[in-house]
Amino acid sequence: MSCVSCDRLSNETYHHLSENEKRELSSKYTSLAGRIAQGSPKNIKLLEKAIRLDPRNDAAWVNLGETYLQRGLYAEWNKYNDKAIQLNPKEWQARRGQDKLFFFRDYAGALYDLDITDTLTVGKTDYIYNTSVDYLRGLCYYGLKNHDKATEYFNLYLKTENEKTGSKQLDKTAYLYLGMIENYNQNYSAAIEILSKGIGEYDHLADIYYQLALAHFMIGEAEIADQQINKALTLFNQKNYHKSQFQLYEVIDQLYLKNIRKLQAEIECFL
Amino acid sequence: MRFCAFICMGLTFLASCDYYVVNPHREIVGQLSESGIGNPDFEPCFKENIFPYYYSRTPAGFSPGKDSLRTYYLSQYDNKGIVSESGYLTFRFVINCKGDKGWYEIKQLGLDFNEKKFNSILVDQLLALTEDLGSWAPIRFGDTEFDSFIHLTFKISNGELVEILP
Repeated sequence: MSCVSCDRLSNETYHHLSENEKRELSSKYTSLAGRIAQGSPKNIKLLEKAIRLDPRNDAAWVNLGETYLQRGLYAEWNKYNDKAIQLNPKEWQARRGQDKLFFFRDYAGALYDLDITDTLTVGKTDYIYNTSVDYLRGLCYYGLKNHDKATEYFNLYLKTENEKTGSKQLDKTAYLYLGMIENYNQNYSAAIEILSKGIGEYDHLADIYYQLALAHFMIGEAEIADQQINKALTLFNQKNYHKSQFQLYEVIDQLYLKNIRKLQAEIECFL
Repeated sequence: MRFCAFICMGLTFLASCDYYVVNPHREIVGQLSESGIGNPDFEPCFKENIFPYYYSRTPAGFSPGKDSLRTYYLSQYDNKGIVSESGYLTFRFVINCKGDKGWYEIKQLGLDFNEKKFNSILVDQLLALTEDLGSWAPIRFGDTEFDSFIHLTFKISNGELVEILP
């Protein structure tokens, strides 16, 4: 006998488990789901099972939401993410801020979530994966074109991280954005100083060389600008430019090949 | 009346046996179907499996690049004097192995991520612009092209197109 909707019915119950056992099992199912392709039927069923076992499993709600976010299903993402934040705001509110920043360019909304997190975790710098909220706040203010506050937070980030873990762990794009702010405000010497520092830390980012070429070009140092733009082009062609890890979204002020070609042509005209 | 009684009995039976309804998730999350809108002749090359666009090292996308995509929409978009609309308008669609598009699904959200209805003039215009736009590269694994689903989100603020995401 065929029964087309049998897979819509479940009689799996957990009455025999204690609350602790349910929580433990729920956590294990969340972990298991994390090892299966995100968004696959098995992955989603496991996350939903984890939630049935323990509706207070905030990690399961977040993982469920993330799947929908990456597929452009934002209402579902918002619904599941909200659940997780209600259950554990200390852990997840800043992460929603990060999502709002990168996936939606909602700078004010992101800042709100990051600031709220600070009030929940007084005296502690929060991290989302390995990204400091100070760096993210710098990006939010950069997006809002509040360059003074952006500079303040990028500098705070560089100082704090340098003291804590040394320069190896730094996200070198903090130097990039500081340089971009100086270039935007036509402070070309200051831009060269900060971007050169960035290159001292990490010399494999086309974006930094592009900004450096722009600064040198604007103060009439076309030959130096030409060297820098050629380095930018080489690195870009090697795919060494600022981009998001899985390219699920563009970074803020993404560099394109056309930008490099355009500046290169302008510099060559000047030589 | 008899039908209602039957339903009630059925539900009572299920409840007494601790049965409950679950989502069977027969497809991967976000899968699109032929009930979508757009070109009625559109067909995926492999109906059996349509990947999310980012599942490969060579993902699906607009071949000339995101900067050209942005230039296209910003130069063509006209809010027609509609300045009261804000939110996220998302078009989800399939790019088949030949780079053709179809099976569109439209999602409309306010800036608070709650569902809303945009003025249809704006929706129709952006949908037409998207349907007209060629040069889409299919997802590729090795040397073989497959089908994938992708989305474009237009962030609109007071009628202005301010971002093309993600």
